[in-house]
Order: sequence, then C-alpha cells, then structure tokens
Amino acid sequence: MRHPAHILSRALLPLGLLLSLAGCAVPLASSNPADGTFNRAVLRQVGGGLLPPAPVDPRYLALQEAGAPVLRMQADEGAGVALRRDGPAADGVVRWRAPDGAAIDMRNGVVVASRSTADDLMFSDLAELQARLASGQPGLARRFENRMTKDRTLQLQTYVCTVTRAASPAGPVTREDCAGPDDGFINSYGPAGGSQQRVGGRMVTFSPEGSRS
Amino acid sequence: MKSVGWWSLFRSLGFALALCGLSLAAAAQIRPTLGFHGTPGILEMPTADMTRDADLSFTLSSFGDMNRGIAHFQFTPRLAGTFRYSALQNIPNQSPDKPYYFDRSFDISYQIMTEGARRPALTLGLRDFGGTGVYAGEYLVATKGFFDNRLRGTIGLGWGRLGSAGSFRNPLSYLSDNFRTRPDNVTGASLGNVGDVDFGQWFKGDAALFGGVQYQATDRLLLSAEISSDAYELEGSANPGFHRDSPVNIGATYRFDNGLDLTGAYLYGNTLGLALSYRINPKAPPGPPSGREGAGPAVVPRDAAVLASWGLDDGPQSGDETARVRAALAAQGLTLLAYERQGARVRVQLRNDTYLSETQAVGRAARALTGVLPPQVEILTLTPVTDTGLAPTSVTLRRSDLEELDHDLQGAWKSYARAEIAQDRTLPLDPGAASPLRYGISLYTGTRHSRPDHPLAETGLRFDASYLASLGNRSSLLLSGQLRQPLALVERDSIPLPDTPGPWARADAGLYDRDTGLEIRELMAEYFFQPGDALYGRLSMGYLEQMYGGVSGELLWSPLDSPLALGAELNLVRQRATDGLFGFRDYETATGFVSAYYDFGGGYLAQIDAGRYLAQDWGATLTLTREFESGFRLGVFATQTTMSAEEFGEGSFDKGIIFSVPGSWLFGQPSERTADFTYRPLRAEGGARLDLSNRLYEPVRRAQQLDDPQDWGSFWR
Repeated sequence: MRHPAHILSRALLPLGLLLSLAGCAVPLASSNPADGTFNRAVLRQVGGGLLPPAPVDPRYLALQEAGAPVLRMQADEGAGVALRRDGPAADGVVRWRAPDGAAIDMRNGVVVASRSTADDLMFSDLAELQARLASGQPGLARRFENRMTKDRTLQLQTYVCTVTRAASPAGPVTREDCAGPDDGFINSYGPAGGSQQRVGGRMVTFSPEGSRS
Repeated sequence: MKSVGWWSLFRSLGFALALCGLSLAAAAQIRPTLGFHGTPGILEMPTADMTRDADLSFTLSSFGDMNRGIAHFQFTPRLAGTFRYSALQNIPNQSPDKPYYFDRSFDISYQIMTEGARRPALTLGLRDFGGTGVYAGEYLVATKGFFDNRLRGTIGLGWGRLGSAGSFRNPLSYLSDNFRTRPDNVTGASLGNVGDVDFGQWFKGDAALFGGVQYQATDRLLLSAEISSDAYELEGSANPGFHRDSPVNIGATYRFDNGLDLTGAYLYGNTLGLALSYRINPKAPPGPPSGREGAGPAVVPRDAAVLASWGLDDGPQSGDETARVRAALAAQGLTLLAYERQGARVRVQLRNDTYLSETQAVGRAARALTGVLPPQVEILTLTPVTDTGLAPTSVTLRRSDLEELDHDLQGAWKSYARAEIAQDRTLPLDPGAASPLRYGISLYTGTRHSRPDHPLAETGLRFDASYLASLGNRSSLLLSGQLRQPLALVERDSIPLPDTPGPWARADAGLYDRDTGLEIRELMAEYFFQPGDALYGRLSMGYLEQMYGGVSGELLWSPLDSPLALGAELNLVRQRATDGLFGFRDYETATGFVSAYYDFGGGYLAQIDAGRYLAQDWGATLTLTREFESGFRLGVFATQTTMSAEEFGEGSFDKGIIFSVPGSWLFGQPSERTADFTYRPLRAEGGARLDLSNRLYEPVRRAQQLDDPQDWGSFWR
C-alpha cells in the first residue's frame, strides 16, 4: 500500500515546484532564516497578485503627513509622481523622495545624485554647469558623473556639454547639450525651477508645486 | 563513408573561410548560439565562441529520443564549464525496466586565441571529460566572423566522439605513436563505469574535421548549417527512431528580446530537433537595475539636523537617545544590538537583516545616525554582528567626513580611505534590542540523496528557531533547532542502496528520506568565541545535521587584511537513526580537516580541505568559486581520497556544483540571505563530509568585506 504522503505527492509536488521556482521554497543559507521579514516575503510570493501592491515608502508617508513641499516628476511615459522634499538643504543639496522610496538629490534645481532610480547617479561634479547657470553665460561645461553599474561597481563618466541660453515666453531657458564617449543627452532648465533632465537613463520633467500641500 | 561528397564541399568552403584571413569589418561579436549540447555551437558541433563573461546559460534540447538539460557557465572571459544531464532512450545494454538512461557529463573549454580583425578565435575543448564518457570527445576549433559578423564560419578538428565520422589518422600521431589509437571506454563503451577523468584518452585515436556556417538573416533570425563529425554509433545502434543518414545538419534560431533562443533543426538527415536556451548574467541579474532596497538616508549636517525631519518625531531632540538610534536603524532594516556614547564618540553594534552587502548596511546606519545623534558626536564606530554573535570587523568614521563626502565625486574611495577598519571591543546588549529568540516557518524542496533519476525528492515545511545569548568578552551561545515536515516525496519506494555491505557513512542517505514523519534536522548548542584579533572559534554539540550527531569544534585564523585564511575542524560524530528523531545507529567516527582559504580578488575564491572524511577515508577537497557583487555565486568542487574508484563505485570520486542565488532576486525585496544549492551527481561514501550550518569562514569573510574598497560604492547606496 502506498503511503499517503506519496499519494499526496502528485497534488503537492507541482505546488512545491512552483513555490521553488518562485523562490520561496528554498531553505536559505543563513543560519537563522527565522524572522518576520522572511515570512512576509513568503506570503507575498504565495499570494502573488491577490495581495495589494508594495506599500508606499514609510518615510514618504511621514513627509506627506508633515506637509513637506512637492516637486512633480513626469517621465516620458506614465503618470506623474509627486516627490516630497526630505529635510532642508544640506550643503545646498535638497533630497526629494518618491513614493516608491527612490530619491533624487538636487542642487539649485540640477540633479546631482539619484538613488534607486535605475542606473543610479551616486556622485557628480557639476560645478562648471552650476557656474554657468548662476552667471547666465553660455559656453562649455564639463559634467563628471560617478554611476553605479548593475554589478555594484562605480563607473566614472565624463561629458562635455555646450551650455546655451534662449528666451521663452516664461523666461530664459538654459540648454545643456552633453556628449560623452558612449552617449549624449540634452537637459534644459527653465525659469521658476522647472526642468527636463536625464535621470536613471530617461528624460524626466520636473515642475515644482512650490507650496506645502 | 557516405559523407565523402559532403566533405569535399565542406573542405572547400571551410578552408576558404579559414584561410582567407579577411574580415570586411571588425564588427561587434554577435551573441553566440548554444547548440544542442548547450555550449556555444552551430547545432551539434562546437564553435570557438565564448559567451559573455559570467553568462549562466540553461538549455533544453531534444531529438531522436535524446533529451538534454544543460547548464553552461562562463567562468572567466576565456574559460567555460558545462554540466549536462541527459535522458537517453534505446541505447545498448539499457535495463528493460527503466525507460531512460540518465547520464551526467561535464565539459570544459578554453579560448586559446580571441578573434581579431585578421584572425579567428581558437578554442580547445573537452566534452564529457568527467562523466560517463557517453559524449567523450575533444576538439580544437576556429571561428571567424565576416560581413560585419552577419556570417560566421567555423572549422574544427575533433577526437573521440567528435572524431568518429569521416575520420582519418590523428595528425598528432605523426608526433608520437601514443596518439595513434584511443584506449578503451570510448563513446560509452562501458556505461556505469563513470566519473573518471580519463586523461589517457584525450586527443587520441582517429580525428575528423567538422564545421559549418551561421548567417544572421535578420536581427532575430539566425540560420545554421554544419557538417557533423559525430557518428552517433551508440544511440544509432539500438534506437529504432534514430539513424544517422547524413552528416549535414541545418537549423534556424529565433532570438527573443529576453535572452531566450529557440532553435529548430533537421538533424542527420532524418530527425527534427528543438532546443531552447536562456541565459542570465550574474553581473547584471534580472530585477531593478538599482536594486530593490529604495534610497537610503541622506547625511544630515549638524547645522541642519534640528530642521531635518519636517516635524517628524525622529529628530535629535526627541526622546531617549538610544531609542532614537534604534528607530533610525530600524527604518533601514537594521537591528540595534548595543549602543554606547562616551563624549564625542558613539559605538553601535547592529545586526544586518536586510542587505547582502555589509558595507551598504554600515553606510546606511552611519547616514541614518547623522540625523538623530547630538551635534557634539563626531566619531562613529559601527560593528555588524553575525547571526552567531561574532563581530569580526568594525568601521570607525568621522561624522565630519560623512558631511563632507556625501556629494563628493570621489566619495566612495575617499570615505574608504578615511575610515578605520579593525576589530573593536564588544558591548553589553541593549535591553531594548530585538528579542534574542528568532523563529520562522518556510517551505523547502529538493533532493537530499543525489541520484540521477531522482531530480526532486522531497518538499515540505521547515520550522526554525534560535536563541542567541551574548556571553561578553567576544563570545556567544547559540541554541538552535530545525524541524522538517515532509509533505510530498517522489518514488520513495525505490530509494537506492549501495551494493557493498554496510555500515555506510553516507551512501544510504536515501533511507533518511523514506520516512515522512516530523524530522529533527538540527538541534544543537553552539559556543562562538574570538580568542584573538584574527582568531575565531566554534564548539557545537547536538544533532548536527540530518545524518549525524555529536560534537564539533573549529578554529579559524582570518586576518582582516590578508587574502589567506586557515582553519581546522575536528568532529566526533555518531550516525543518527533514520527516522530523524532522537535515536542513533551504531556507526561512529572521528572526522576532521585542516583548511586553507584564498581570496584571489575579483570574486575568485579557492578552498582546500584536507583530512579524514566520514567514511574514514583520507584525502582533500578542492573548491573553486566565483562570486559576484550581485550575490550570485557559482563554484565547483572535487574530492580525491584514499578510497579507490572501484570502492567509490559509480562516479569514481566525489564532485559537484555549488550555486547561490541572492534572496533579493528570489523574494523581490532586499534580503541579506542567499539560497544555496549543492548538486552532486551521486552521493557516495568517498569524500563525504558533515553538513554543518555554522562553519566559520563564510560569515567572517562576509563581515571582513567591509575592508574591500571595491564595495564602498555600496556604502552610499
């Protein structure tokens, strides 16, 4: 006579395989795979689409509740996102936090760093651009970017950018046309803090709401 | 041979391609296709191409009652290894009660010369060098791209099975008569007598030419044609559904965006075949490019700290200082274990429950602390503590450096250069810290006793619990247990047992999986201690693993700034009862090893363990591993002991593959854990070791990676 567990195997094995492939059925290497975080992860894997989407970043919720200023971000496709200002300017840099936990650091409206935005800009040196933006003088400006690759190593990239200034009905717009060894892009900085800049490999439009919501 | 006409055509084409030495353009190399053997190849024949460094490819192929599952890994840009698992039908001497003969084989290939504007790539390969010998063959192959790489031509010289059709006298035999004839056990002449690395056969016996062309018709469609030098004598002799009527194979490969290749082919003049390949690269694993952990905290300069939180209640002025620190770390997925402030200096001991990189955990902790510590605090010493209570490495930082380097272009290496990385003293545990009791439930699946026709043996529930007590003076006591409740088994009635008389040390492992009752997988008390700056110790007692209980002691010497570490381990164990509960069987033994670990840098690691194994055989195990920043890890190991190949039986010696996947990739959220798999073609007596959970080297090495400057980009993630 066959053992009940063997009979069960036909029904449970596919489930086990599915769970394994989903990655939640594998004993983990750590000596103590016993904590709530892991269990919640298992539930989320098993529940799949039945569970609600990943929660909004708690820090973002707290900032929202505290009425932190908003910067609206719009990528080429998809809905816009309201970024919340995370703390005051430190060394002139303001951190803007997204609902998914990503963050963008800006100095005088120019993106100087990004986190969790794909192709993270870890560090940058944009002093020449900042000087041209402050003085309103066109010319060349070098842009140095230290990005983190997908295998978590830093890669320094240098761009040579042509900075030009043009008038628009709303005020002067500064255009930064950058060329690097592998790629190029054009950022533009408008009046009143609006801009279009490359973030995480995509062009993104920023427009400040300017007031606490 | 029937193929003579084809050979004429082939030679004309092949030599023209090979010798013309011209390339109309030095174009970027196309992604090589993986043939029906799962290695870079045209269809059945290999090419000289290499996949991208670190590419891990999986192939399923089927034709003529032959099914293959293959894993191929590009160890280095020029060195690749392959593991092939084949299910063959209708081969000679096959047992009538088993419809399939399961075969495992290993290949290795090395690119001697890379492709240049005027020279082909040249690769030397060994096929099935450590398996049954069913596919045993060697080759030297050249491949060159033309017309902006839209056309790639290959020509090669094969021996063994790759020299079995259209063969001629081995050119090497003109150098030495030793190469004139190939010794026995070629092309699977003795199925079951497997696992030898048969150096004596390599490049011996008749040779044959093979080759072909591949044409990139569109961005997604690749057309292939080849002349095969494989006679398929073994399969063709007893397989009514397959005959080798022609050496010519033709096929087409459709390449999907996601890295999937689907190949259809008309093979050997009478058979249709299909192959499906998928590849990932651990250097750029699937998932969000910047990880799943969200942005960490920004450094809050002291003059801005008062305003930092927009009225949130975690600022430096609110509440108890330790509670603020605890909350700030918890927000980053870190657990505060101990906190001490003396003047301008704070010491923080923490447990990283979230990040694979300890450097990232320390970086987040340091930045989070700048938002909650009083302005007078200038020096931060952070110590990650392992799950076993060890604290191998501490990082001391100046807060002013963090403030200065937060947006410095070279912030990563400057912060590393300014940090002081050493061992520090340990502190009493914070009374408000997380409970030392941890527990959880998870699902498991997999095979516990390796057997080729049992790829999956068991799935069930797993319960874990542990209690960690800090004993002060850099020592801790860990009480831990793991219960398993099997839910489903595969073919439990046919669990194999060795032919030789018992008792067995490991070869009867299958007996432990027959029982479907609740099983105590581990139940033990462990004492961890750090007797010196570079010394770590472990004493374990109890039910140490599924098959053994007893006592185990280990000492590890691992200096922070040295790539070399040395260890010693001694175990006195007795075999447990097969029901997995509290009883014991008669077999007992002493087993122990001295170990050397070497970190070559760049993720390449080597380990040698020499000593006495569970079956009382003496020998050594060599393990080579490549580890990626993403957390993926792949390695191979092999053991040679005093147990002869005859005594060992099928497989001849213990060997296998180690594969680790980062938990963040599996679970879709940040995780410091990895899922580890060890695959052995067979689990036998020779070279058997205890499966201990808490050996010292890995957690210590992981903690010591804080001293790796390459990882300090993660400090700011």
